[in-house]
Amino acid sequence: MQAGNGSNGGIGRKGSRCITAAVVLFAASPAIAATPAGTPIANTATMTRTTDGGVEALASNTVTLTTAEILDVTIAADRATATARNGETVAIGFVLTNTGNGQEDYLVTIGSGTAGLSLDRLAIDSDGDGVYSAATDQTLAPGAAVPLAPGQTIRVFALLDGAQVTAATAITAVATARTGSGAAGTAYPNGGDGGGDAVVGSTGATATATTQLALTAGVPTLAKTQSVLAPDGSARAIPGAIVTYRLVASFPGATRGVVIDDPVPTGTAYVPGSLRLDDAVLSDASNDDAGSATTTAIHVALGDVATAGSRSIQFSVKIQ
Amino acid sequence: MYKCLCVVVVAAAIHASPALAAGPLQVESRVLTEQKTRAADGTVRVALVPARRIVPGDRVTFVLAYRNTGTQPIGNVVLDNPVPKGIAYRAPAATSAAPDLSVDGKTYGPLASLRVATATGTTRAATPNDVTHVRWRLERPITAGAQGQLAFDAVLR
Repeated sequence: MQAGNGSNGGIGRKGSRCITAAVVLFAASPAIAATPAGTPIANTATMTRTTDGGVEALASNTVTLTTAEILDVTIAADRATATARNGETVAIGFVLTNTGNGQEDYLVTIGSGTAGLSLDRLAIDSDGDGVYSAATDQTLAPGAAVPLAPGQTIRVFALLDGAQVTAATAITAVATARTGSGAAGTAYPNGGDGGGDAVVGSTGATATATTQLALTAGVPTLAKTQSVLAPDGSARAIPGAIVTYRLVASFPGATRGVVIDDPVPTGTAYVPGSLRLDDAVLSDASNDDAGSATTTAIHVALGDVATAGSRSIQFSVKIQ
Repeated sequence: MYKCLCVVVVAAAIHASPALAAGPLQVESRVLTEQKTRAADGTVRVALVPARRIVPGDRVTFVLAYRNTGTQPIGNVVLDNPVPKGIAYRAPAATSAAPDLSVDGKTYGPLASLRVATATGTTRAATPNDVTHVRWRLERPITAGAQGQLAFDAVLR
């Protein structure tokens, strides 16, 4: 558009005009770092006129805009599934990324479909190794925010006590920008970095990721303790002393086909009739109850254990 | 009905700082952005309004409005708009003459004629992202009392 008459001008003034031309389509931008929130964008044009006397320059006014802050976030679960084991702390990792252009605090909440599951414990993967370590990874107080610079990524662990997990459940992490969230385009005046506005981006400034938590029974354990009673009443392991062994089998869950065998130690003799299961006497003979004993070993067949719990077995030997 | 792109530019002063006036020539810079409003009949009206809140990826239109308030024609006028940091040039505005472009502020021409140095010591064809200066040379004098506008589209990086 060139000058030349009194009414030229490319863009209509004092009114509106309809044009059928399509909106100029911008070529897809290559990946370039987003302008940080709060950055001022100042524009000044210069008009120059060349005359016989030289060049006259005339600066325009300066228009200054402050880059608004885009509120965006993504979150991804480390794993689609995880397993919980009784007695262990379960750490479920989620990777949080500030995809906006401003410094932003994110609130992270953890939820599950199971009532009563305590999910307020969070930790930051401070050493960045992707594995929760109580010694090095900083625990977050409930309600604390995770601060992230533009483009920064951090892993948070949802921590829960495996003993609380009694059934498979979904563990869901939700990250939300503290400045605000909602429909894309929602504005928070003066809420952005540098005193500018903040605008919710395409993610809605909130993101959710889920890990399916399965329950594993864990490994049964067998603990053996002994007590000694000597003929003189002491606890010395001398010939003639009676050694009573106690075996405690712990089952974290249903366990099938449980059999417990224990050999009679060399140099000792089994005390007949001393075999007990949960403090009830078992006969030494086989085929009449769960237990049997010979001169060389005891044998207790518990069969299928239906639920978590423990069983105790006791027998005595005499030191030769 | 066909989609109607209505460009509305209010002539009222938008910015607190008025255009500088030096003699009969005046030039004012404005930065406009698209504001879409959906009408009851489903059509989307796109108006260009002064940019207030822009975020990376937003399209903006830089407008230079000039005027000859004098009584004599003024010729040999050049308008130069360095592209602000953070702004990527895209194209001439839909109704504006195409400007000359520069990637160094020294050599001007069509984009296709511009090259930029690469890290390996060679050169490559310039892209709109490389443009650092936008310039218009007015071929004809601005007649007394005339006004005009030139504009280019850009995007906030």
